[in-house]
Amino acid sequence: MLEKLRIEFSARHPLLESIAEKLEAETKEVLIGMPRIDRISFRAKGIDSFIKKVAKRTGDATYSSPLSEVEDQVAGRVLVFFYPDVVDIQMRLKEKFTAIESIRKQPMKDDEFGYESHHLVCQIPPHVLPEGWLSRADVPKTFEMQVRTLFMHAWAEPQHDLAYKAAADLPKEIRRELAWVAASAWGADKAFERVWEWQTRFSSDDARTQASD
Amino acid sequence: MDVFRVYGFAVSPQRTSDEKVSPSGGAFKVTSDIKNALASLMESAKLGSQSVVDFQTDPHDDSGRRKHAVRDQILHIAFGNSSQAKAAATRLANSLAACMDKRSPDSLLMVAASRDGQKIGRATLWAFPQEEAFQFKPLKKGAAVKLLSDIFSQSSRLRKAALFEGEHIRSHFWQGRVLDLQTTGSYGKAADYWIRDFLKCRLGLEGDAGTRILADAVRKTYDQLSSDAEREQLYGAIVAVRTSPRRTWSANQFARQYLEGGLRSVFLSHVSPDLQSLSFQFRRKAFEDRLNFRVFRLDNGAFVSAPFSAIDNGVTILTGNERRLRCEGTILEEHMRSRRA
Repeated sequence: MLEKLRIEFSARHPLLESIAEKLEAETKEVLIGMPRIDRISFRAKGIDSFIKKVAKRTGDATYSSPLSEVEDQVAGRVLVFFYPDVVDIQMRLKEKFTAIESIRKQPMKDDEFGYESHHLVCQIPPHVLPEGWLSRADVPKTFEMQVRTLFMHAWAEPQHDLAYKAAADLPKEIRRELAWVAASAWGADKAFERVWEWQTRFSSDDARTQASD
Repeated sequence: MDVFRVYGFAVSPQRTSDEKVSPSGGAFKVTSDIKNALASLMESAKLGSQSVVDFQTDPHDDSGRRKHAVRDQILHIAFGNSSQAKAAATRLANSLAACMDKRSPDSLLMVAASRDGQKIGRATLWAFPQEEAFQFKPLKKGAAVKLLSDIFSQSSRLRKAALFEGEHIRSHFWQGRVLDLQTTGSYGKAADYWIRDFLKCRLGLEGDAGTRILADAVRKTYDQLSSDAEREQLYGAIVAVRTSPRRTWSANQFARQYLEGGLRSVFLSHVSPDLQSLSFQFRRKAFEDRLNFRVFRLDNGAFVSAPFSAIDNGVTILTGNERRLRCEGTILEEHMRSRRA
């Protein structure tokens, strides 16, 4: 069954790549004028990655229609400089795309440090879809979008190459190292935010002083 | 798709009503006449290719929950058991009544559920306005005429419809198709109640995106034309759509309203068939920016419009203490005519 799925997914992969390319262009258009964006990038999920994701779900959690159910077949990411920019960017994205799910991913407990990111699941807009896509039931209708700061991304991205299944599989010292890196990224974001706020306040104080002179 | 349950409710506008009247009705038998009538309605309305709408969630909810009350009712209708579906249909009827005010007539809300095998479900909603009609019977001597007031018109321009279909999975049933001829006219805010207030949806083709598609198609058409008459027709369309009181357009509507004959076909050839009937909120500034189209009103009462790249090519803006416009070129044609909006 997975082999059949691989063939079907491979056949449509060029269409997913086309959607990813158009969504990237659309997102860049939508975010024109928004400051402090480092980069915007989209991708179509790799064939091996798709099969691995489907195979992971077993028992009651098995996908009944993986070709339409897997929601990150097309996914994008917006990286920004400061945390307040994450909030502004995701509000603009929600204005221009229809978001069906929005979640701020962060550690459950206040004294934990780990993965942080804003995730959106949005309807793929009709004008980036291949012809006939809207009428098909066996295709994804949604795409995923992540909005992060550069530091959030710097912590999250190497995790893919570290290739561990769950934090519980790691020795205690390694888990503490990763938590330290996450805490440092969080701290760096906070420091940048304070500097940015000071800069903004300083610029407006300076402008007010000059105006009164 | 096989229709397996249908509900009908008489709905009176309640939004501004002092006297509260709850919708009345419920389930009725799915006969072959009803199935044929519903199939015929779907086909004549071309509902499967009408405007795309998306259920709109709360933009301030970052909890990760996928919440939408109307979608929940639609899912109960398409996939729920009888009592869930009946309760959902009743809730929708009450909700529709609460969204309508006296500008809308009493209506028949019909809610139908269909299934295609085991996986694909569909929920279709129809709202038909109440009308009066004469029933006529010739008699041996004379005639009998009765006034019927419990008639609901299938073909009225005030009718509305919505269709949602897919599998019963978390990523389906967030998008549907809508027929709402009032939205596409000059009815303004009153017409929004079906999509915005009742279904709690937004148009699937976002305003800026739809406006860009329209502008790009206009530009490509203009570049392709060689006849002055057709260029002038297109130019008139550009000027008119900018100032039209109508806020919602589709490429098809623009073409039907402003373009004739071969020009219409050329224009539509530059819009994907899947997008031609999709409505969007027209954004005037986005349209002008995309076309680089400028209109100047001068202190002497003259209006000068400069399309595409005429600025700095015969039309010059002079900056100084005040902005002035200089326009120079050879007159190719001269008309006297009334301004058409």
